[in-house]
Amino acid sequence: MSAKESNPISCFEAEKVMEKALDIGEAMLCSGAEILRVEDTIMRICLAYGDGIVDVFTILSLIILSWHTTDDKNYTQTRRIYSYSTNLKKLEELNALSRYICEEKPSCDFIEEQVERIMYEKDTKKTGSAVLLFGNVLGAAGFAVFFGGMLRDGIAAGIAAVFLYLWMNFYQKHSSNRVMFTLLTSFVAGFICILMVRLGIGVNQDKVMIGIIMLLIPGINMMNSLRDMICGDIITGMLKLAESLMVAVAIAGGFALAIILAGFLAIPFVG
Amino acid sequence: MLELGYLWSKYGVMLLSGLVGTLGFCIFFHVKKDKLIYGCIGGMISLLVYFFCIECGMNDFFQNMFAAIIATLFAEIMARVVKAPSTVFLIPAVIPLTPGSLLYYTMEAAVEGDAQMTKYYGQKTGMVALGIALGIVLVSAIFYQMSHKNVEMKVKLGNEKRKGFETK
Repeated sequence: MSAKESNPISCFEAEKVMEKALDIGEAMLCSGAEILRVEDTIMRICLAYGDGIVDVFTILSLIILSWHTTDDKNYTQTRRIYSYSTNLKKLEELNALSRYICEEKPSCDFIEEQVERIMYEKDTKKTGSAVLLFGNVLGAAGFAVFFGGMLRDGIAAGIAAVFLYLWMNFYQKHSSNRVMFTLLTSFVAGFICILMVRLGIGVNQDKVMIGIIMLLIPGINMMNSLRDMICGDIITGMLKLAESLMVAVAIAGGFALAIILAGFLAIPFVG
Repeated sequence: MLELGYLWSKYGVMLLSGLVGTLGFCIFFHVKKDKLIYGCIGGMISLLVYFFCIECGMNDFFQNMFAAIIATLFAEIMARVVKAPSTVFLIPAVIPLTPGSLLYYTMEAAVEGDAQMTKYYGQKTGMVALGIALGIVLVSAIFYQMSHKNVEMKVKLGNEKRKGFETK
């Protein structure tokens, strides 16, 4: 079909290659890649396997890929993205994989295997989640002290982070709405923080709460949205920016609700 | 003012706890094990610049902007040295600058019904966020212009292909 026929590809069928390219693009988008990187990767993978006109359009929640092949046929596939998070390990490995694909042009089965290995490896293992929990605790405790708290505040924030992690693990399965998820999570987190202080573990309620807020704050999203906008992806940048502003408002609202409710309930001081 | 003992007593706790927090976030964002050290170095660099700017008496906006500029420089250079996406280095480096405490105080003032303090802290939060964003934007725009000509390449590639079709 193209000049690259010297490399024996068992599966040059546009549809199949497009599916794999979309798999990789989707995986990258879900791991928090910039739009430019996703579009570039998909385009390069398609053009590595065959010639033609490849058009990719990506926003936060959708990838559209259309390929006009050299034998004058049009193929179009779309992929809806429902949720995304930041996973730099997956992002790095996917980036390396896509480079490898463009150079070596492996079979589609190989790509599928690799994508599956990257996306589902260690997510289910218990050691992985223990390490993640450790990271959560360190982050909350470190920033509680960083913003002027005492060591006891750090410890309280760390304990609160453990409960928060358990809650998030429990609730994440039931919700894909990011704003509502953040609102409820920060409400629960605020309540846990107040309890921690009332139990006498933490001293300054504000510092404990700040430590926990740092875990929820969408700073990374906001940063990525600005980078997307510089690179010319205004639509996605605006979407992400609007979402991170909504999430920030939801955090403030959730914590405010917790403070107000705790004031009504008047949980007695123990410490 | 340049006494190390004085500076250490003022910023030592912040530096160490900021590093611990950055390490925690690196784990939280699944940074690969061999890249953890770069994340911590990035966090330390941006913290040190941040402290330096405080000592120079700059305002909130410039403190965060300069720290973000140096952090982004570090990330873009490391991305080219270690050959990994620059996001991997940028995210940990910017994390200590995130205005988490200001967001909290804005919310607290709002709950207490103190309109003046809400406005004050809200504006401050906005200023810090804008400073970080501008710092990142400035440097990554330069690097983008210098080496990442992906968009131009993409357009060119597409045009050539289209020309080929027309002649066939």
